[in-house]
Amino acid sequence: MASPSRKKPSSSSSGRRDRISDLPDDLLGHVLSFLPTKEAGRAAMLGRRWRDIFCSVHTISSEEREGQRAGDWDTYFYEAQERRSCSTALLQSISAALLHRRRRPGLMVPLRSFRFAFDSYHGWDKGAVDQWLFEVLRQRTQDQELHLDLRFFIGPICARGSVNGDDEEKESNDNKSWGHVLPRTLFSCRAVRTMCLSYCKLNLPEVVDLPFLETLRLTSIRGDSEETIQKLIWSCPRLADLTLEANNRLKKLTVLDKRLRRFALRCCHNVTQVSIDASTLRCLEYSGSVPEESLMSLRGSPAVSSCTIRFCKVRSNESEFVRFRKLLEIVSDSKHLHLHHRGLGSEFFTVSPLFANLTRLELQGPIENSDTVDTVKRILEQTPNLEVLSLYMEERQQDVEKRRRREEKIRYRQLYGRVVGDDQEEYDRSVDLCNLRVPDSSCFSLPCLRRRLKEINMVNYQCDVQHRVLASLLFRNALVLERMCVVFVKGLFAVQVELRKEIESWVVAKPDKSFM
Amino acid sequence: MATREAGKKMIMLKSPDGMEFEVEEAVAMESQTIRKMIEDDCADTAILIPNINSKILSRVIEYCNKHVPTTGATGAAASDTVAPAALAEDLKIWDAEFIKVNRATRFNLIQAASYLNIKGLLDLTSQTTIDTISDNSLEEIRSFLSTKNDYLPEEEQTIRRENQWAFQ
Repeated sequence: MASPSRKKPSSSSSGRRDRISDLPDDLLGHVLSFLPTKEAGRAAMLGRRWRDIFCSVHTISSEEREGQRAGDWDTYFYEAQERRSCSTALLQSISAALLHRRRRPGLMVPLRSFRFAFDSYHGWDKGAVDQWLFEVLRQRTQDQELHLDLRFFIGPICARGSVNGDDEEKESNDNKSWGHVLPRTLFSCRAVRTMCLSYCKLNLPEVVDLPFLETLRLTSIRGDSEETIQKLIWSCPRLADLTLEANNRLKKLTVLDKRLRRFALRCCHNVTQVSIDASTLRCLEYSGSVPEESLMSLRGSPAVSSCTIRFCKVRSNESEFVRFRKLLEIVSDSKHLHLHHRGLGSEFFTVSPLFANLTRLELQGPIENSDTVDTVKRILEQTPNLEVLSLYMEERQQDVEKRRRREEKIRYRQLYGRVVGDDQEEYDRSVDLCNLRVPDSSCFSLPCLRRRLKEINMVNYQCDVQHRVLASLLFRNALVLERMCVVFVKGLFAVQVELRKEIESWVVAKPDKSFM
Repeated sequence: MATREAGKKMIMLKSPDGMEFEVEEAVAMESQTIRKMIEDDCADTAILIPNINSKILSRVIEYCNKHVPTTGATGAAASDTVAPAALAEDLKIWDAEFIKVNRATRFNLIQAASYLNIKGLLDLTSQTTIDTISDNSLEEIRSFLSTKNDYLPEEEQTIRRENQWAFQ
């Protein structure tokens, strides 16, 4: 078994000084902590040096795949007879790992990070989870940091279709009684620095004692009244990074006594008012519907430098435009903006505030039609100091369907051996590249393109009229461009070569080019 | 932040092979070990960094130089999640380029990062090591890490049984 290393003792002795085995236990443990827990456990097989190394590993992490438990009726039946859930692999690996650490108590380093994710938690798993948390939380002192990420369900947080924004909202499982009730000791463990909790019930004790908690993420917390979340947030004096996702019970939130540096509010659709002290806030992230004007109130002197905005439902009407504008005004001082523009027509930007400090802009969404190109233009008109522009072009709804149809065709072809002239079709489209009718490029001659913009990135570029129009307008007008990067959608090489040539013919400045 | 604005105080770092490096205080304070020394006023003369040769030390300083502006005044508290996403993206690319070194250098960097207590560098080097060995068979990992299987065959059986949970 060990022949390769025994064969050449000279090389191993000369290379002895840089052998990883020479590192002390705690460093080896730290390195192995980056592996999934099971693989770290296998390290014991490597050699004597590694036999008890798992006691020095400070991270235990195990997760199921999304949908792993869905439609798994067979195991369900057999396991049900013993009143066990089907997440056997997850349960066993975490329990065994925790047990294994205890084998050499003298060597054991305190656990620094504990993460698990059930695809779908079952009430029968309660005993095991309680036992783990007891083991992890006991005998902690405040100077051993502890990061927790406990997920009881894996899935999309928002039921609203991000694509067509239909008004019908699915009733979420929020009111159902299921959900793990967390042990109260969790909220008085002074070692906790990071706490990420998903799809569970908080069950706060009278006194919450989390003096060193810095990062808190609450996802779809169940069954608790809205005061619970507010109370938890109030009880963490050092909180700096707060994320709230899909907490449907939450209506009002006030964080005025904290120095938050990052705040994210994702798809908490029933929230009507958020007041935070924004004097140290650097990152703000919002996703949900276009908010009422009163929703977000940033106190102090906001100096938000990075901002992300995404809407899961947009209605195109006058009041929505006004509200959208108000939201933009709040973040108009930021240096970095990431905007998901799906569903936002150009009329949203008819009157938009000036982003005087913005240097980096990321636009994400499908380039649907000439109106989207117009949207991009209107945004760029308001960003005089922009230096880096990145466009993440998503698939359009109709393209998703087209792709699905094509995949079906291919499957059909594989089944029946028929040849469908698909590749040919795609190539034919590329041949008419020269026929692109680009609108007058002078309409895109914007101040930021002429004087400031140094870098353009386009991701998921493909042979599509709108993509090409937008690219030609940008590259022909970017006079001081220094770097550019275009990432093509997977496809025919010949088409990519054509597209590349075409883009190169547009570029007027002499930037570093890269194509992928 | 305040220290940098106050005339950019410089700190002298010395490697055991006699090389001296002059770095800004803020850069040196990326290392929690040196930060403690500075805060305890032990840094008036040159700081001798034992066990780290000049080649490795210069790489470490290069890393700190690049990473200093993103870490705020509070040091450890300002983690990557707080830095603006785009900047963090840039740093990631730089890191990936930085860590393209041979194994020996990487292990030395791990040791240096650990001694100097530079969390970002320690995590980067560890993660890279893991990326190169994960999904390989035990034998491949052994030869890659130039570590020897010194178990007797019957011992190996015992160890495997002890760690059965990891092989399921």
